[in-house]
Order: sequence, then C-alpha cells, then structure tokens
Amino acid sequence: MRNEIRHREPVAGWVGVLALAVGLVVLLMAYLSLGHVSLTPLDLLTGELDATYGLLLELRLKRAAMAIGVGASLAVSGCAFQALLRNALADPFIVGVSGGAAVGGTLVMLPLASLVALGSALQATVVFAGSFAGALGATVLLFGMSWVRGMIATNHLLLMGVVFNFFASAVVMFMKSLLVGHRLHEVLFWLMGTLASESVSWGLVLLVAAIAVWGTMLLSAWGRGLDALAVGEEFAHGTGVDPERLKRRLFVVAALLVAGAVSIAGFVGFVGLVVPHMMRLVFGARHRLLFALCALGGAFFLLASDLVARLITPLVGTQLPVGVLTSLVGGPLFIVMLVRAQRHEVVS
Amino acid sequence: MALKSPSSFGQSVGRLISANPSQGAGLFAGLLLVLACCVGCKGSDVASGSGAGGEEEARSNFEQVPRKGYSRVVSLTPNMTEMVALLGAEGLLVGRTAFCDYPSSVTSVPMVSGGVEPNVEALLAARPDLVVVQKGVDAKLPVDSLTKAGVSVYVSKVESAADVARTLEELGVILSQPKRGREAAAEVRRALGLGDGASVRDGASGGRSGDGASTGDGASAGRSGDGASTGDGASGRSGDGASVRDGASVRDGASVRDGGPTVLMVHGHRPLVAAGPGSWGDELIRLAGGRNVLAGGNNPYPTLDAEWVLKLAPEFIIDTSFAEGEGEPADFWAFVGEGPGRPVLRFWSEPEVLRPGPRVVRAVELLRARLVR
Repeated sequence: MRNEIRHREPVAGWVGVLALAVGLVVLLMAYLSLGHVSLTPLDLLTGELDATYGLLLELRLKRAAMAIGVGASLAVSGCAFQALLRNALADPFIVGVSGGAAVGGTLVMLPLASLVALGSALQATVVFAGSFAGALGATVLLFGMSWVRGMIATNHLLLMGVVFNFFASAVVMFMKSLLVGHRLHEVLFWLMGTLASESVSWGLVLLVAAIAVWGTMLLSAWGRGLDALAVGEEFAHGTGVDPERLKRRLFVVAALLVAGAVSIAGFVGFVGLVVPHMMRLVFGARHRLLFALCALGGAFFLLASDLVARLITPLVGTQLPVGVLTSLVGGPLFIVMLVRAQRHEVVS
Repeated sequence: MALKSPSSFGQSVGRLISANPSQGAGLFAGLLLVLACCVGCKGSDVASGSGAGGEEEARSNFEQVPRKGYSRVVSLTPNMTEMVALLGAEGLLVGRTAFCDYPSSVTSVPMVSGGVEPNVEALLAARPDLVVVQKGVDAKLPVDSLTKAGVSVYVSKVESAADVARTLEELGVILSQPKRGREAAAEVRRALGLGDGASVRDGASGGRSGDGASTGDGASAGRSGDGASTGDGASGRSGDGASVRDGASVRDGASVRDGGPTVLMVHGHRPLVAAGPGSWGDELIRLAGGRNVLAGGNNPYPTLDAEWVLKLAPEFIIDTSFAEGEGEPADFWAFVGEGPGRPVLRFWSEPEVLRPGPRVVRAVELLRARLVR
C-alpha cells in the first residue's frame, strides 16, 4: 500500500509534464499560425515564406519565446515563494523584488532621451539592465533586513516585502511625474505588463528563457528538501535538510526568476499566484515535479493568454495588455477549480 | 422594535449596539456609507465647460461667454496660446502651461499649469478675467466656481482644421479682435479648401459659429483631400503669430495622385499608438491628400502591434514618436523590412503635427512633402 502511494503521485506528475509539454508544442504551432494574418502549418514547416510572412513569423517566434520564458519564470517563482513563506497568497510580486525592478527600470528611463542615438534595441537592453539591477538591489536589501540571528525570518520578509513595494510604488509615481509625453507612456505601458517584442533583442529573450530553465532545474533538484520544509523546519532538520540554507537558496533563485521576467515584460499579474495552485490541485504538492509542472503550466497559460489577446485585438480595435487577459481568464478558471476541489473533498 | 419617536429610535439603536457590538458596528458603517453616497451624489462643480446640452454637443460655449473687454487672459492649452498670439492679444496673457512655447515670446508669461492638470491656485493667483481652454482639458477645471468668481471660461473643441478656423473666429470676437479673427479663419479655410462656413456673429443671440461648410463637424463631410479642391499656389505658413500664411493655398494638385497614398501615423512605440479616425493626425493625413489606413476603425488612438502594422501595409509610415532633438528611431522599424513594396519611413516631430492649432496649414504642407517617394 505504502509503495503504491509513493509511486502513484510521481506517475501522475510525469503524465502531467508530458501532457503539458505536448500541449505547449501544439499551442505554439497555433500561436505561430494565428493572428492578423494566418500562416498555414505548411508555411511554418516548409519555411517557404514571402518577405512579409517571414517577418511575421520572426515577430511571433520572438513574442512566443518571451511568453514562454516569462510565464515559466513567474509560475516557478510564485511556487517557490509560496513554499518559502508557507503562504498560499504569496506571488512573485509580494516580496519587494518586483518593486526594486520597477524602480530600477523607471530610473533608467528618465535620462533615456540621451540614449536614443543608441537605437531601440540597445535602449531596451539598458532598461532591462537597470530593472534587473534594481531587482537584485531589492533582493540584497530585503535579504539583509530579514536576516535575524542567522535565520531568515519569513514573517519579516513578507511584511518588509509588502512595505517595500509600497515605497517603491511611491518612488515610481514620483519619477513618473517628472516624465512627459511618450516617455511617460512607455513607463506606464511597461508597468502594465507587455509582451511587445519589437524593440527587444533575441539575446534578452533567450537570457530570460535560460534563467527560467536554470531556475526550474535547480528548484526541482531541491524538491525533496522543500517537501520536508513544507511539513516544518524541525521535521526538515530531522530528515537531514538544512532549512536555513534551503530558504536562502530558494529566495535567491526565485528573486532572479522574478528579476528576469519583470525586467523584460513588466508586471504580468496573476500567473505566479494561480498557476502553482492549479498544478497542486491537479497533480499534488510534491515539489520535485511541481516546479516543472509550474514552468510548463505558466508558459502554457501566458502563451494562451497572449494568443487570445492578439486575436481579440482586431475586434476591440486596440491591443490589450496581456495582464488583463491573464486576470480575466485566470480568475474565474481558478475559482471553478477550487470549488470543484472543495466539493470533491467534501464528498470523499 | 416599534419606533414611536426620534428619542425612542435613538434608545433602540443604543440598545442594539450595546447588546450586539458587531451588529452595531455594521449599522454604523452602513449609515456612514449611505451618508457618503448622498454627499457623492450631490456632485461637484468640476464639469465640462461647454455648457451646451442636447443631442449634439456644441463645439464650444461661445454663446455663453460674456462680451466684454478682457484684459487678463490665461490659456490652458498650447494651441489656444498660439491662437491668442495670432490674434494680436499676446499682451493680455497672464498665464500659460509648461507646453505653451509658440511663438517664442510667450515663454516669458508665467506658468500656471504643468500641462495636463491645471494648478487652480496658480491660475487664481494670476487673477484672470478670461480662461481659454480646449475641450477635454476643461474637465479638471472648477468651471462653475470660476464663473461665479467673475472669471469667464471659453472652451472649444479643436479636433479638426474647421474647428481651428471656427475657434479663431470666436476668439477674435471674445478678445475684441473680430476682424483679425475672421481674416485668420478665412485664410485657414481658403488654404485648406474648407469652404467659407457661416460667420460668427458678434453679440450673444442665437446661431452657432461656423465651422466650415465643406467639412462639417470636424471629420467626414466635404473632404479636401481628394486632390482637387484646395486650389493652387505656394505654401501657406504660420509666421511668428502674425499671420496664418504669406502665400496662396497648400495644394498644387500635381504631385498627389488620385486616391492618395496610404499612410500610418504613429505617435509612440511602446505602446505603438497610432492616429485613428477622428484624431488630429487623421485630419492632417486627409488634408494632405493621403488615406489613413486606420480610417475604418472607431478608436481615435488605437494601440497596434507589429503584426497589425504589417497587415495594414501602409505606403508611408510617419513616425512622430520622438521629441525634438532626439535621434530618429529608425531601428525600431526593422520589423517592417526594407526594399520595394515595403513602407517608406518618415520621421517628423515638429509640434505642428501634434498640435491642432493655427499652424495647420504649415503642418499639411510639411506632411505633403513627406508623402512623396
């Protein structure tokens, strides 16, 4: 019986990984095919495209790569923060790292007029670098402030993260008031969350994707330790896990994931909160596979949301920020899943 | 509980609260909410300044502005400042916005507004007797309070060249420069082939100000952009606030083909905001003989994505997204490709293209020059 239990969950998890991977590939094909102009699968597979179609395909590929990298990063970091803080409401934007990213990115945009001569791609890189630096700075600051007698005080971390976010918001609003015209619109657009990739280089997109892959693999490797930590720190000690070391590593890796995602795409909400819970509801809470499931689930969710946003654009006459779709779609979907899960518990 | 009198009501409430504090707190919160709703529903005096109701909103509140000699004028939009200067009333200006920079002599006038939201205290400290503002910006003004304090407020919708002509005429009357106003309006109409329009009457009775018979209210009727209707001649240009033009009309009809080139005018990259139907950019494209690729939409400033631009496939892309003095962001447009059949990129950031004002003739002329391969 015990052996059956131990083996049942990993099987379901691996099936989930496979299903999501296949689903992601199918969705990717649909994403590349559909839009203002439809490309047939034959166009995609043979590569015989005229100039316009070739340009379209490259645009969609880059945007899809961004969606996959950002979606995976947000979902995995959300799962990590929920494990670290042992709080179901934790998400990538709660611990202050995103606030630091916002401050760093907006600070860089202030003198950006003098960088126009560098070109749009290099400007985007400079904003990315500024935002990433801001996120890392916030990480170091919050880590240092929550370090109490050789331990991370998770309650302190959570509180300080929330307060830091308020502070960062105020700083960003002050800086926004100094900007005018299209610079102000750029900051607002970036803060709303966007996968618009015209100015973003392939280098940045691949960097974020690489961080997502690296972070997922590392966190999955620590999965058993996190399962023990989820029971309690003393239990974790008893199984040979050093909880403090694990929490430090968890925080740093999750912060880097958030830094990469926010620096390239701004604030795409809801993915980091909802996707980990969805994966837990369906596949269970074992972290070793949960992070991989979150990565694939987050990529799938954000890619699907962006596809819907692109398809709706001609109908509404303007481009919708992808964050609007993630909230509109994710919210009700999550509530339905939660209600069904609760009913299933009551019945069983 | 039977309520026989106000005092018994109070006693009943007191008993309720003391017996069940949480219910009492809920009752108190509910009362506060009802009170807040009542106060909120009273409304405020921050209102649209047009003052005209009815099925079709008036383009301005010209009829409601008292006719008297004004000596202290505050302008809350750059285009209004230009028009006041053009009418020879620059010396009356006692306040402007941070964006009012033309003609250059107005920069010595004190600023009373950052640009979007007027600083009401600074405005009142300037002690104006007249405030002139474009419709839209007036939403943040306490118009009723200003009027009660004896400050007249002139609000005008300026969304088209016809609106510019009408506003020049109306401002001319208000600022006791009716002849200059009529002449400036006539020059704009003649240069752009907008038709004479009904003239603005001095005085307060009846009638709407003319806004150009051939273009109607700002957009669709009587197009001047069809290659034939605006006459011949040299360019019309706005001087340093002295005259709208020093030549004949904008169009020579020779270099713009029938139907005109398709044009996409872009005002920003992130987001990719473009000029849709009813926008100032759309008006300029039409007057310059072009065809706005977004004319079929319903959003004056739609946010596009790169794919959409590729699908629209305009012949010309006019990029106004960068500020004067910055470099041209040509590399942003790498995704449209280069070569035969690809859109021609034109970069243009002079204020004329973005400001619906008396330099519209020059703006149309400059745009026409850019719509040539």
